[in-house]
Amino acid sequence: MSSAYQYYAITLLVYFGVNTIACWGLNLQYGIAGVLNFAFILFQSLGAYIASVLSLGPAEGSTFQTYVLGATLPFPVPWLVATAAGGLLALAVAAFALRPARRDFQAMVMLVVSIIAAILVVTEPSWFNGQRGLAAVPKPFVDHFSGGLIQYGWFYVAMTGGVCLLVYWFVHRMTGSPWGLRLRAMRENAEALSSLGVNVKAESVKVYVVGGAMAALSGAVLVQFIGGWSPGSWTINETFLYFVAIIVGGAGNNAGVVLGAALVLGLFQEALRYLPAFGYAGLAESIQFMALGVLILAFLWWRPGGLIPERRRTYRAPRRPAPGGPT
Amino acid sequence: MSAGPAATPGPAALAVADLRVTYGGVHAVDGATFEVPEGRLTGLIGPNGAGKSTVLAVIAGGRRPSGGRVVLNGQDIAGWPAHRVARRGVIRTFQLSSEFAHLTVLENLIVAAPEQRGAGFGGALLGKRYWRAQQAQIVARADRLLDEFQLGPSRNLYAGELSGGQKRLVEIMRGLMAGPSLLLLDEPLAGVNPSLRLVVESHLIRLRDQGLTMIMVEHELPTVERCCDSVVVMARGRVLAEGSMAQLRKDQEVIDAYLVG
Amino acid sequence: MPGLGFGLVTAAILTLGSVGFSLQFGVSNIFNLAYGDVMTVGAFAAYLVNTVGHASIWLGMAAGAVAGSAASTAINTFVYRPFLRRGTALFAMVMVSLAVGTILENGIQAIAGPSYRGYRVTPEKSLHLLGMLLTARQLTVMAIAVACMTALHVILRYTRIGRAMRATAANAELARSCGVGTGRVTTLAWAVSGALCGTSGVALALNLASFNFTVGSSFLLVVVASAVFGSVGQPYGAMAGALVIGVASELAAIVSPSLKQVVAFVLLAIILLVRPNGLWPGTYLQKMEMAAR
Repeated sequence: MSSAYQYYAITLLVYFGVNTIACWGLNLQYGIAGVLNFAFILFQSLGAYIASVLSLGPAEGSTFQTYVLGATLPFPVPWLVATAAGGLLALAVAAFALRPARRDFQAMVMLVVSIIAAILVVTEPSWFNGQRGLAAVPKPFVDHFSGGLIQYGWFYVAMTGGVCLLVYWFVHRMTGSPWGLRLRAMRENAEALSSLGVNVKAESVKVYVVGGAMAALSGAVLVQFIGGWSPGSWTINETFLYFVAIIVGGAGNNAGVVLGAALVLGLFQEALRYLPAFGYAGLAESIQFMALGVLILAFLWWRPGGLIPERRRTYRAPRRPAPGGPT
Repeated sequence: MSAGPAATPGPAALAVADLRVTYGGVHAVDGATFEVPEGRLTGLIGPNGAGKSTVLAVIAGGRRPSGGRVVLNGQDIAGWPAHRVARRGVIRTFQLSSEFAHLTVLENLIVAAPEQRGAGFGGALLGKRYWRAQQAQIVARADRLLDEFQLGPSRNLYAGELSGGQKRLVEIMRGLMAGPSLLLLDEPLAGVNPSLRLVVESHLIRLRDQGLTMIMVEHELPTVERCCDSVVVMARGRVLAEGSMAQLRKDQEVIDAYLVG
Repeated sequence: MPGLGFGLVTAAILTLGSVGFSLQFGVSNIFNLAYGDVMTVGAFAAYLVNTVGHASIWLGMAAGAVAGSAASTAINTFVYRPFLRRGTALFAMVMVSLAVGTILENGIQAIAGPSYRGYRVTPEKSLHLLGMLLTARQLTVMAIAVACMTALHVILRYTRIGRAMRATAANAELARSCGVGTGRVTTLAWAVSGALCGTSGVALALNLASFNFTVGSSFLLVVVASAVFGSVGQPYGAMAGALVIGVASELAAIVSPSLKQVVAFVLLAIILLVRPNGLWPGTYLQKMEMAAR
């Protein structure tokens, strides 16, 4: 396989892995717990920014960009700190965004937060270099690879795959547990769950923090592959795309959202590349987003469960002794 | 079917004093005062708009009162959030169906069990080995309850797919799974077919005999007569009278406000 | 104080926008995230009438009102109402309205292109009025806003259909059981609020030197902020919210232009923390609790 094709495959795979991690995070928040996190992309961005500044080295050493917290921390510390930062930001946002009782209200507030954050990052270049964003973010272990970019690329794919496995282990364990069941009950009827003794607000905050941390991790993994991050990478459109992936794939089903990530974020996005260029630049993209809007409406109307809906869980009834006599 | 032991009522499990709930200029509850004796099934009846469901909502913590007190075992719980009141053993069912629709009937029950090892974030992280045994016990308990209420075959159906009456039963069972010391039932038998009604009523009486304190908002007077030890009549946000059905039938005020109209 | 003048103009535009938004929430209990894009539809309808049709901008504004009304009514009739009738959960409706907004916005972009346009209007001198600097056009916009609000007040208070709208907003089920034709009332409410939406879109575009397909959607969150501030669902609250946020954001813009939107959002966050139901919570408190189910 020629190196161009290989590099293309590597890129697709890394993006797929990153999107899978992100979708699992959003699925935990929205598909399972019913929390409409319209600020989702904000957390992925924070993870990307934090991982970047912690790998770029001190800002004073750079001639073309300014940022906070410059350091050159060894791998995997930037990723770990990025994940923690995502959780902390989620805690801060949850403090007021989860105050209203109505979930659509909460979603509005989160949307607002993500927009303000974007405005602030652009107007404060000292944070993350403003509109131009960060560039030349170093890749971990790249010096060890004398074989060139392709060999390193496959290594990065393997690393991404490793993180995916870890995240899958975590997500699978949590959603199959009584806590997962509690979150699903919260999604169905938070008031009723409250009346059974569960502190619904606290559980919402927990799931928001966990999802935020996962989103941040996905950002960290992505940024060190693509090498840069700017405000253009994180608009409402990106959050919208993740929601489409989850709804189409199957909200509430971890396998379903992987399919959604592959189809919507992978196939659909890539298909755009192969269409003959028509109209002015950007026309194809607007038609693409219109199609996505129609797709969401179609799925919400005809198949709200998605392609692979949440599966029904049956619990084995413990064997009961027959009334008298041998079993 | 007479309504249980006719002895004088014991200590009050719950006392509502001068409760007021006002919103948007409407006095939904306008100075309600009554007591609920321990280990008895108290009926709460009255015409539409009397404030009965609002009183239950305030007791259960879903609603803030504008004034008055709700004393549970000597402590004023008025204004407490719902989950805190529930932790004290006060569990309620709702007037509008509030089952967890996209969870199976069994899941509706097991999610209500208190003190679950795997239900917290940390416990879930520790994995199946930590919580599996306890969950099996909870599942067994839920299955027994399902059999008692004759809903065993619906175990793995989504609760949203059940009939209206079956949903009410699921809510009652779900409330029971939470291990209440005071159970608030808001029209629990609405939509339940007549044959099942008597079964459920006998369950309620059995629970009462086992010592569970209950308040039941009900419209069907025969049910109230059969199950309730005493009855509180409300109208226009106030308590009109308290007593047994026999006593109330003789009370002119009650007759004017409710039993006739 | 020039800032105050700008503030009042913004407040006028915001009043038209947020009252319409509030009305829609009042009757249908949903956040219409496509509202901003309907504003854009109004702005472009006026553009067509004004530039292509060579008509005055005020005729364009009327066209914008009609376009906004038609678009809003169509969206409600063909998308929102069917989904609501089906029993779609309220939080899922946000996704529905987001999808509609996306389709609309990208549709406008596809047709109109990304370039910025401006209305054909003669340049004006600013007049000095009570220490504020305003053009005749800005004063007219403010007058239109006041006229619309007065008309709305009269409709809501004194006409049968207005009372029916208020009844439906307070308690749709109760209204239905009293014989109020809630379906027709809702459609009318969407038509009226859609007209306000379209008008505010034109006013917004008129107030900017130039605009493109994002003009409405970028204003949406300020509209939501002021509607929520005044208790979403309460038109009079929305008017108060518009005044507060309109003036505050323009005063903040004097300090720094980027603060304009941030101030609106900060006010939104504060009101949510302190009084989550807004300034004017009333009977609609019930609706909040029902929706939380």
